[in-house]
Amino acid sequence: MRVVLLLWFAVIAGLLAQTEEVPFQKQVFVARNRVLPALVHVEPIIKIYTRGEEQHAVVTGSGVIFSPDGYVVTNHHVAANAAKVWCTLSSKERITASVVGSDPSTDIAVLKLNTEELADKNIPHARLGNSDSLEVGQIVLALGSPLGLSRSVSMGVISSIDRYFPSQGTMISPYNLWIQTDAAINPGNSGGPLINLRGEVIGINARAVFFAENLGFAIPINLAREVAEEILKGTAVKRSWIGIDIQQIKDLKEYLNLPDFTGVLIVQVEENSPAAKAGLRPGDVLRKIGDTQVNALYEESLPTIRKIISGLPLDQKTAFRIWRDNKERTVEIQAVEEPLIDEPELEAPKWGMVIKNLSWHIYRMQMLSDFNGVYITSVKPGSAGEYADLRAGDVVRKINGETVKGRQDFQRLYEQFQESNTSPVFLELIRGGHSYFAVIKPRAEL
Amino acid sequence: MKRNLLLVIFLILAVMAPGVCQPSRALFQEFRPKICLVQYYKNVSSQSQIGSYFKVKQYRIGVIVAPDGLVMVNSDVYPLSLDIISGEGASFSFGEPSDFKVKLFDEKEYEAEFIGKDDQVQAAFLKITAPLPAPLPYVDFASGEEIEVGQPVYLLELLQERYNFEPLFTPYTINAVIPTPRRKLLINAENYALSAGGLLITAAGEAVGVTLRSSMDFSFRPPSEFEEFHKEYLEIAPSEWFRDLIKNPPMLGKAEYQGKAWLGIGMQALTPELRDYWQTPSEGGIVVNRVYPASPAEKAGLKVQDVILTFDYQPVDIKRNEDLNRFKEMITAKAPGASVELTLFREGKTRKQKVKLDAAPRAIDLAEKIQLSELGVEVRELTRDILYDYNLPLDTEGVYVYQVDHASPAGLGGLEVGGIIIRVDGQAVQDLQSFAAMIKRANEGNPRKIMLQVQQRRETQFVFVDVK
Repeated sequence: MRVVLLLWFAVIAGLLAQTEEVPFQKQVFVARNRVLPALVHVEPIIKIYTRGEEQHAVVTGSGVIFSPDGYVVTNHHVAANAAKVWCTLSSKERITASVVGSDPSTDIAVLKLNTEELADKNIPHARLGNSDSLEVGQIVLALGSPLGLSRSVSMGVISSIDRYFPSQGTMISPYNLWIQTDAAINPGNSGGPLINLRGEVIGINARAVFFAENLGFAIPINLAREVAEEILKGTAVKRSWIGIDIQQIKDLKEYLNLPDFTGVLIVQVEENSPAAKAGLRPGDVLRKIGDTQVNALYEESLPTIRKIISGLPLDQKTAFRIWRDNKERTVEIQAVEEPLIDEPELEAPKWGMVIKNLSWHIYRMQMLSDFNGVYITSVKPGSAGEYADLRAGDVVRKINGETVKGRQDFQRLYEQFQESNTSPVFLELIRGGHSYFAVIKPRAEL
Repeated sequence: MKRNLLLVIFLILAVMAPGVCQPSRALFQEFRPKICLVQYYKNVSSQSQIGSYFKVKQYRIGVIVAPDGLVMVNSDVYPLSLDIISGEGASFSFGEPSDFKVKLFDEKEYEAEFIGKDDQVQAAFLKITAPLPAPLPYVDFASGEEIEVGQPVYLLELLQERYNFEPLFTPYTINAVIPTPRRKLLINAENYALSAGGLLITAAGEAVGVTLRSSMDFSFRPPSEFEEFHKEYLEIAPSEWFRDLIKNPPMLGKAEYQGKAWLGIGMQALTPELRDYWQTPSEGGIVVNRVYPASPAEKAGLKVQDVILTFDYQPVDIKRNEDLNRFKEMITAKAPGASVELTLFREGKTRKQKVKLDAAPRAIDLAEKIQLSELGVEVRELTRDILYDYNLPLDTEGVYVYQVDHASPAGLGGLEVGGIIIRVDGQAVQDLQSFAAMIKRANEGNPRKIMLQVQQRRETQFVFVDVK
């Protein structure tokens, strides 16, 4: 009890000391003034695919300029599939921007403002801070366009610095923990900056929870910066893959009754993956990758380990230290490039359908044994595809006997068909885990 | 004098209403004692205590079909699936129904037991177990094959509890005949009486059918495709559906139970488009899109993409997936063990292939089970429906998690229904007995946690169950 009271005094004393130096209101103004000029109201015209065809929609998001030459960081879910991006700067000038690159796994995208459209070439930019030194309770401001209301500022504290979400639903974040804040974040804040009182960007606001109050989540800026740098180097963020799923070891450690036990539990080894070929199996405990000790007592440590694996070299083997049945051994695994890349959907208008590269979810649901195929995301009513009884969720494995490896293959075969356009097309599908056959007959334009 | 007057009145009445009032009244009186009220308890699994069930009282109309107390009711009294081709998959939420009682016309009530059912024709059979003072009046079904649209009929049903289950007798006209996949009759009326099982009687006094439970359409359609507002009709199974079953009722008992005839393929219709593409010699057929391991089809060498053109010398004229049930009926009409000849179309050539059908393997609902209420789990022996569903090899060993109590050690550890426990504390689980022994042993020591390795489809999970 005494300790708690002392802590309270310390906090209050600290706050008093701070307020004596600079009035709190003034600190907020200073922070605001440093970032607000670099805030961007982003309005992409995005391609959306519903009911078997491509459609357009305008969405609203936020972004922040982080370099003097006009690069903007925002969310993948704001800028993905953008046909055109409109940006309104704090000066209220409205210009276009192009998407430099976008990474679905971390929900980060980078835009480049078409600065030649600007009258004033002096482009304000915000300073990126360090998200590793954040503290729970620290005061933060969220800047952006909630529900399209541009240049809005809200305030709150950091509620948690290590919020973990299992990779489920839309809240995928296999490689990072989230900053949770009670600063009001609404749809439209996405991609906008979360800043500290020094006026540094410490996170990219990405998610709010519906039907909840003051539950906002931001991507730590250190990860956003790293991904943005990779995007600026090339166009796609490439990740390495060995084919394992991992789980924290808290329960295992208690089960084994070994107080000093460390590592991470391997729960899933994908068939034919590098890890499977190296003999790893569910139940093994991974203790070291190369020279790096790995330890995940709690799930909050899992993203870090996934990140290490995703950064493994592709041109050489890495030593993995594995614990199994009280014995340790080292196996060499050569990582490969991650299969099942999330690429934009593709419309096949003549067939009345939209397809996408396989996702892990579809791969598992349809019990596929290799990564060949694309899946149908929707079928257009009244189209040739509907007449052929194609359905959303079907995996297209072969077209006229030719294996469809992925989106590019599908596109090639589809275009080939458009050139010849003489005979029906025979599709070999996977539906509900087993084969299904369909013939698409060309139909007159509808 | 008074008596004479009565006689005159009677005669006048008899002349005024020849063959209208009197016969229908007579029909009602003839059939009234041949139907009965069936009462039982549906047992709904409790999610919070393994091995415990909520009892829900249910009533049905029954038709007495033999003098020794054989009663036919709708098959929904027994919600568990029997084999891998009947029923609707694992039920999970129901135990076996219990406490069957049959109440006769004379208000006498007798205990009865469930003896078997056939889901394809929605018929289940009960047998009165208490001794009967005399043989019961029973319905001897005549053929319903000749019933046609426009024919006047009577329906004998029972009202709901608030009307004291009194009989409801209504004249109707057959309004439609639905020919496929199995011929049934439709009456343009609502179903107000006690659910399915009512008796259809012709004006000539022959019982020719029973009402079915209203069919529900769960098929997904985009909103633009709704054809009409969903109206329900009274559906009637003509007696052909079940007449043979009455003579030889299905038995559920472990020794007697036999699945229906089974081929063991996944199928789709040979649509005109597929036919044009493959250039098959005849229109219509069954495209094999899956061959189940160790099934009659696999043993006979059937392959994915084979097209079945004839079955037992009958053409398979199926061009739409909506009609696939017709092929299933062709198979189940055969006896398990029967040999049939198929005409197959494979890679441009036609060939004959003999197949020896087999009884369909049992469903998980009928599998042996162990309920461990302290651990909070009901596990069952692995049945082939699960292995087929998960695409796992048939020699997979383990036990199937059929029920989990969420507030139990197993539930808190994250165990979920649908998993297959393949290892306990690192040791392979062979079957139910070995699993029970392993859990017992683990509990005997000084246990803190039990480690379960669980597989579902191709995903593995480790569940740590705290048994402190």
